Amino acid sequence: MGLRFQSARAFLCAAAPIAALVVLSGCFDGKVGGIDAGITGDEPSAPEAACAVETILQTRCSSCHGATPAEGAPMSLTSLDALRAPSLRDPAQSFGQRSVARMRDTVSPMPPRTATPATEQEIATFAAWVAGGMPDCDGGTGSDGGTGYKHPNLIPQDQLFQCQGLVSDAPGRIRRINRWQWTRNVGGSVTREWTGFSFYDNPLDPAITSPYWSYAADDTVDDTMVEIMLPLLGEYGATWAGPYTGSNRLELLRNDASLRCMWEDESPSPDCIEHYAATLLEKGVLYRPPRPAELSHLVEFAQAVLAQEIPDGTQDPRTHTLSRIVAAAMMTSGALFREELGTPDGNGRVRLTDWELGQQLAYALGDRGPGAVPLWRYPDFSAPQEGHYADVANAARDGTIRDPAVVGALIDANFGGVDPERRDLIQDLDENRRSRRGEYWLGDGAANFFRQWLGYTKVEEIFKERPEATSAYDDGNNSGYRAQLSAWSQLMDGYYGYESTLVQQMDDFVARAVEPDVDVLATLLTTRTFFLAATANSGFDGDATRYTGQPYNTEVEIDAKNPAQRWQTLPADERAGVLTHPAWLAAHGGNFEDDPSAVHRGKWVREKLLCQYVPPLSDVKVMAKVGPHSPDKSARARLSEATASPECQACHSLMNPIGFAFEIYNHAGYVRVHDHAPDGGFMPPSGAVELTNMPEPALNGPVRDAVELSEKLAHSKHVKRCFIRQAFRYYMGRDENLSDACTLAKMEQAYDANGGSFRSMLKALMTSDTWTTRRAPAKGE
Amino acid sequence: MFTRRAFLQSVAATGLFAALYREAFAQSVTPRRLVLVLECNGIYPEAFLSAGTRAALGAEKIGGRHHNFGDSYPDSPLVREGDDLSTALCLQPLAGSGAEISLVNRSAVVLGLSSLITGGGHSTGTGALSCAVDGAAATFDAVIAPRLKGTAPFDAIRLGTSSSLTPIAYQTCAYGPRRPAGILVNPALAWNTIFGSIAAGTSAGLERSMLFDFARDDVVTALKTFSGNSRERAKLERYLESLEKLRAREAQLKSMAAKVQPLLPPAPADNPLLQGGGSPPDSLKWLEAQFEIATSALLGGLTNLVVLASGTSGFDVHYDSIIPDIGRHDLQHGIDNPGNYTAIAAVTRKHVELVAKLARALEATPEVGADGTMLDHTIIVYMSDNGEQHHSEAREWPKLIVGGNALGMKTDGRTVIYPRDGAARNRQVSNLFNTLGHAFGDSDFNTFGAEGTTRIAAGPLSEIWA
Repeated sequence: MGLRFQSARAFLCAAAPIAALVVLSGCFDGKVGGIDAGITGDEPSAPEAACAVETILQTRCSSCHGATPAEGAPMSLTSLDALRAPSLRDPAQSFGQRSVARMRDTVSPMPPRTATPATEQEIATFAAWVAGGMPDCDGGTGSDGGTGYKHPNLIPQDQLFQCQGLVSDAPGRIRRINRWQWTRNVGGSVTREWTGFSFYDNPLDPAITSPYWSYAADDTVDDTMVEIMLPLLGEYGATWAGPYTGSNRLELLRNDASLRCMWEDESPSPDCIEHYAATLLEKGVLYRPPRPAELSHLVEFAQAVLAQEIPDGTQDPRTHTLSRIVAAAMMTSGALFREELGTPDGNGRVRLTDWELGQQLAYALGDRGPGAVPLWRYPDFSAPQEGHYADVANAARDGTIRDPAVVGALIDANFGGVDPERRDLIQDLDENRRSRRGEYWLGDGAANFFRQWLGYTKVEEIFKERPEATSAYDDGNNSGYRAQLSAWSQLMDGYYGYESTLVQQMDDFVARAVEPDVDVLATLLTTRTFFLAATANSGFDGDATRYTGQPYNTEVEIDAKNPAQRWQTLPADERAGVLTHPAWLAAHGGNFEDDPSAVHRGKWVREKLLCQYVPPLSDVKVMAKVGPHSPDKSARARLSEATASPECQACHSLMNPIGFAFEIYNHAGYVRVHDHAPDGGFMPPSGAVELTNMPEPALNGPVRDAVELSEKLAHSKHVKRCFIRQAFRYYMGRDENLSDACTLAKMEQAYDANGGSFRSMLKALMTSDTWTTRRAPAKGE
Repeated sequence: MFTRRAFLQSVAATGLFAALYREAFAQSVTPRRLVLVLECNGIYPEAFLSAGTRAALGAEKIGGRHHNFGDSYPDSPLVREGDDLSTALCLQPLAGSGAEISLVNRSAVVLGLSSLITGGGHSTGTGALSCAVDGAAATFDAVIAPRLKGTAPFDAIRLGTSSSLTPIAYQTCAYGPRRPAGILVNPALAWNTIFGSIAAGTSAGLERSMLFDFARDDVVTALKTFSGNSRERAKLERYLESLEKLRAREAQLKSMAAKVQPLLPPAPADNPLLQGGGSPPDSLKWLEAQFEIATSALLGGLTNLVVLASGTSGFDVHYDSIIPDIGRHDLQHGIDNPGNYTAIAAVTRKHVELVAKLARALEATPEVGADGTMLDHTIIVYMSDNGEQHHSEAREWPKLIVGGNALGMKTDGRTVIYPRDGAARNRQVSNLFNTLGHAFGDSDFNTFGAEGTTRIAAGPLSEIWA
C-alpha cells in the first residue's frame, strides 16, 4: 500500500519537484486533516487540489482501484493518465469525470455502500479539480509517463501511439528457451506420442502467467525440470553419435565426413574432439559460434568421458559416451538461455551483437535457432543442408543483419508462403497428412503468434459434453458411439485417415487470411472461406471422417481428390472470421452447451482485441458459479441470473454483452438451431445485444450476433491498434509501455501505408531501435 | 513389490532392520509423512458408506442413491466410532485376510465436507488440494512439504496416471498461483528419475554427478562475466542453485544407495505391470507400479511426502483388468448401466486395495526415532480431485484416512458425517487440511485455502484429530 501511494504521490507531483515538496508538506501539515474535517473558505489552488485528490484517492478508492485493481474493479486510478483516460462506460467522459459522477450517485455510489462514503467537501474538491482539467501539482497537464500501470491494458491506448521522442526503456536480458523452441532445435516434432518418447515432452513450459510464450519473463530452470530433461538429453545425445543412432536422423551426421572420427576412431584425436565439439555447439546447442571458454570446457569434459569408456566390441559404449557429451553441452547456460545483452554504446544503451540479432530474428520468424541442423524424414529434409534459417545465420555471421534491407528480405523470405507440398511441416507430418493440408503456410514464428493470440490450440484440452447439442445435428442420441461424437473426436485427434484436425484447419484458415498480407486484421475478422477436412477418400471411410463438417454446419461431401473443395465459403449469416471459427469458439467455450461460454468469449474480446482490463478471477473472492442446469434456462439466462448483482456486474458488464453475441453458437462452436425457452421448450437462438461499454463510440449500439460484431470490430481503429500491441508483445516478448510509443506508431504507420500489411508492420518493428538496442542496466540495478 | 515388503518384514522380524534403518535413514526431526492419493474422476460417497452408517442415516432415505444423499445427514457432526468400515461398497480391502492385518481400526471415513470454491466439474485442477479456484493458489502438498522434508533427498514425489499424451502432467499440484508442479505419469520415467542414482549395476550416479559438476562450472563462469541486471542475473543464479541442489542430492543418494537398493521395486523393463498393456495402457497396472515406487521411496527414506493421482490431466483412463475396451469417460456417461457403476466401484475398490497395501507395508516397518510403526507416523488420505461424482458440484468430498495415529489422527475405525453443504455446521475440505497441518505440528495452521468470506469455520476438525 505504502509503495502504491508513494508512487501515486510521485506521479502527481513529479512535474515540479520543488513545488512538490511544498505540496507534500502541505499534505501532511494540515490540509489532509482539513479535507477530512471539511475545508472552509476559498477553493484550493491547482497544486493543492491535486494533492487533495491524491489523498481522496488514497482514502476512498485505492483499496480497489490501486495499481493492481481488486475486488472486481476494472481499472486502476493511480496515475494522472488513468484518470484522464476515456471511461469504459462512457468514452465521452474521462475516468476522473466518472469518478465524480459515481461519488455523487445515490443509487450506485462509489465508494460502495459497505464502505465509508466520501464527504461533501471531498466530492467538491475532486469535482473542482476535474473541472479544472485535472492538472498535476504544478498546474500542468502533461503525461506522467504511465507509471503505476501494473497491466499494459490499463495504459490509455491513444497515448501508446503518440511518439514523444522517448526511447524504449526495456533493459538487456536473457531469455530461457521454451518448450517449442527446444523441441524444434533438436529436430523434434511438436506432437506427442501416446506413451512413447517425445522431445516435446520437455519441461520448458513458459510461465502460465505469460501472455505469450516468448515472454520468458522470469523463466529459469529448476531442479525438477533438470530431472525431467535428463532422459530427453540422453536421446538427443544419441542423435549426435552417428548417422543412424538416436530417434531423429540429423543428416549432417551422415554428410559431414569430418565428424566421423568421433564414432569411428577408437581414440579420437584432440583435433577431432575439438572439431566435433565446435560443430556440435554451433549447430546443435548454441546456434551461434561458441566462445573459447565454452569450447575448451566441453572439450575437457569430452576427454574425461572418453577416458571412462569401457569398450565391449559394439558401438554402444561410444554412443553412450557421445550422448553424455551432448547432454553436458545442452545443460550449459548458453544452451538454455539466449542473450540480449549487447555491448555498450556509451550513451546508456547497449547494441545487440550480430549473433544476438540473428537469434532474435530467427526465433521471431521461426521459433528456433538460426542454423539448426535439418531433420531427415524419408524421403525429405526439413530444411536445406546448410540448416534451418541458415540465411539468418549467414547474415549474423557477415554482419549484414544490421542492414534494414537485409532484415526486410529475411522477413519476406521466411514469414510464410504458398506451397501445396507443405514442406514446412516435414518435421511433424508425413507426406500423406501434409498433402491434405491447405496450401498456405506461415513460419512457426507467425503461426505461433496467431495461435497464442487467438488461443485456439487449447481446444483439445476442453471436454465437450455432447458437442452437437442444440445444433442441427442434435438428434437426441446420447450413445457414446454416435456419428456426431465420432466426428468431433476425429477433429480433436485426427486418429482415422490422414485429414486435418480442427486446430490444423484453423491454422490453415489463418494462414490463408494472413499470407497474402492485405488488410490482414480485417480479413482475419471477416473472411468466410474456411478450410475443412475431406469427407470422402479421406484415408478412412466411416462416420468419424464423414461428418467432420458438422461443426461448420455443413455435411457437404468434400472429396480428397479435389483439394480445392476443402476450402468452403460458409453462409454470410453464420460465419465471419476467426471469432466464428469452431476452433476458437470451442477453445473459449465451456463443457456444456448451456455453460457460460459467453464469459470466456467476451473476456477474450475485451482483453485481446480491445486491450482493456478485466480483473482476473483469482483476484475476485467470490464463487464464480452459475445455477444448476435447467431445461427452461439458456446459457444466457443462467449467466444473467448468476451475475445480476451490482458487484458481479462490475466485471461481467465488460464480458457478458460481448459474449452473448456468440450465443448463436453452442459451446463447441456449432451453429445453434434452437435454444432453451423460458417455458421449458425451445426458441430460436439469439446473439442480439446492445453494446455500451465499448472503447470506441462507433462500436456501441446493437449488434445482431457475432457475425455482425466481427464485421464491426474489423474496421475499428481501436481494434487495429490493439492488434498491433498484441504483435508487439509477442515479437518483443514483453509488455509495451509508453516509452515504446514511437515504435508502435511506426508499426501502425507501416501497416496502414502498405494496405494493412503485417509484414511491413514487422519490418518497422525489427529495424527499430527498440529491436536492435536495449537500455544498459543502471548502477546497482 | 511384495518381495521387498517380505524383505522388510523378514529383517524386521529378525531384529536386523531397526539398526539398519536407523543407520541409513535416521532423520533429525520427529518423523511425519503424508501420502495424498487422488482419484481424478470423483468418488461417490456411497463408496465409503458402511452398512452401519447407512442404517444410522436411514437406509430408506438414502435409497439407491450413490451420491447427493446429504439430506440424510444430521445437523450436527455425527461420529460413529467402531464402525465396520470394510462393509462399505469399496472399503473391503481394509479388512484383514490371512497374514494381512486389518486396517479397519487404523482408518477413518469422513463424509459431508464441501469445497464449493473449487467449482466442481470434471476436475477442479489444483483446486482440490488448494481449496481455491484452479490455478489461484499453492496446493497443500507444496505448502507442507518443507515442514515434512527433514533430511530426505526429495521434498516430495508426485506420481500418477493420465490419459493425456505426456509422461508429465501439470494439473493437480502447484507451488503457487499458476505455478504447477509436475506429476510423473509414466512409471518408467518415475523409476529412472527417483531411483536412477541408487539402482545397482549402473554408473548413473557417477555420470549424473559429472554432468552436474560440468553444468555448474559453466554457469559459474557465465555469472563471472554477466552484464545484465540483477533480475536477469537471478535466472542464472536460480539455475545454479538447482544444479547445486541436484549435486548435493546425488551425494546423499550415493550415501544411501547400498541400503536402499534392497527395497527397490523391479526396474521398468522387468516389471510385469508395465509389460504389454496395450494402448492406452491399463491405468490400474500403471498406478500399481507407481504405488510400488512410492512405497519404496517412503520405506527408503527418500521422501516424506507422496502424491499419487489417478487420471490427472486426462481423466479418460482405461482399466482393462477390470472392464476392457471402455474408458472412464464412457463408463461414466453410461452410468445408468448397472455394469458401469459396478466397474467404477471396482476401480475405487482397487485404489483402496493399493492404499491398504501401502499402509500394510508401512505398518510392518518400525519407525525410527519414535515409537510405533511407520504407519503411525504417516497419514494417508484417499480423496477425489473434484468431489462426489464424475461431473461434480463439489458439494461433498468423501475422504478415507489411514494411519497417522501417532500424529493425533483419530483413525480408529470411525465414520464422521458432517452436515451437508448449506447447513450452518457444514465443514469444508480446507478444515481437513487445517487438521493435517496441526497433525504435522503447526498449531497456527487454521486458515488454509482461499475461501475468504465463504469460509465456514477456521481450524482443524476435532472429530478426527486431537
